[in-house]
Amino acid sequence: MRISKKISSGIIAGVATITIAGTAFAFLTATGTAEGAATTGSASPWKIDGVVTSGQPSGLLPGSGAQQAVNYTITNVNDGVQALNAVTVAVKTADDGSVLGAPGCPASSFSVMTSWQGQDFAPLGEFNGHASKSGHAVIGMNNLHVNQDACQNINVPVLISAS
Amino acid sequence: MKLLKTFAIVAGSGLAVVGLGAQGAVAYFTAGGTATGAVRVGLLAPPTAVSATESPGTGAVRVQWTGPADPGGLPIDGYFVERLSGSASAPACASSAADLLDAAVSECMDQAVPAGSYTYRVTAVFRTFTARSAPSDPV
Repeated sequence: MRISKKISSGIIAGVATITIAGTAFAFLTATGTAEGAATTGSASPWKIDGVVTSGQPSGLLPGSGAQQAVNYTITNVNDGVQALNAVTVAVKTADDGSVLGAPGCPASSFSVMTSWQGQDFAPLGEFNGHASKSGHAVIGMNNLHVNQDACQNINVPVLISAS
Repeated sequence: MKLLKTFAIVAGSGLAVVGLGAQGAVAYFTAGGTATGAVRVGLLAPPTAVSATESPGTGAVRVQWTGPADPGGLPIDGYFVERLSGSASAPACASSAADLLDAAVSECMDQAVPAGSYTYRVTAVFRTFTARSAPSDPV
C-alpha cells in the first residue's frame, strides 16, 4: 500500500490524520501566512447645501400654527455607494442654554421634527456615487407660558448634521 | 458558492460596511457632514398712535390707540394700559398683564385719575409675546 504524500510548504503546525481502509487518505491541516494587496476605498463627508427655509412669512410664533421648514440637499460626493444613516437638525445653543446669538431666548423655545408618523424627513439609506437627494425638517416654537419677548424677531441658527 | 472578495480600508472617520452574498458583494461607506441654516422668529408689532384725552369734569381720561396687525393672521390676546408719571407706572382702564382688555378694543376710559400730568402706554399681548407702545403725549 502506497500512501500519497502531500507536502505543504510554509509553516506547518497542524495535525496529520491518516485513515487506512484499503486505500489511504491523508488530511493535513496547517497554518500559514501570506501577503497581498487590496483595493482601497475611503469615505467622503456628506455635502449638505441648498439650505433654505420656507413657511409663513410671519416667521415662527409661540404655539402651533406658524412652523417653518428647513429644506436641504444632501450629496454623496464619493464615487462609491454611501449609506446615510441619520440626519439631525438642532438649534445652536449658547452655554447658558439660550439660542446662540439671542441672549435670554431659551433654546427650549424651539422644537425640531425630523419625522412624522414613522416617516423620516431625511432621505436615509444608500446613495449611489454622486447622487443627491432632498430632505427637510420642521421647526416650531413652543409656548413656554413665560415671557418670550427675547425670542422675537431673531434668526434661530440651526445645525444640520449627517452621518 | 463563490464569494467575491471585497476589501475596504476606510480613511478618516468613516465606517465601511461590507456585505457578502451569493451573487456578489455590496460595500458602502458612511461619513459625516454638516451645514447651517436659520429660521426667523416673528414679531408682534406694538400699538401705535396712542393718545390720551381728558374728559372735563369727570376725572377720567380717554385712551385711544391703533392695534397691530394680527401676527401670522392669528388673533392677539388683548391689551393692557398703563398710566405713567415719571418713572412710575400704574394700571389703567382696569387692565393688567393678567387681566387684558379685549383684542377688539381700541380705546378705554381711565377712571378716577388723580390730579397730575400723565402719559399712557398700551401693551399688546399675543401668547408669550408682548409689544409696548410709545407713550402718549401728556394729559
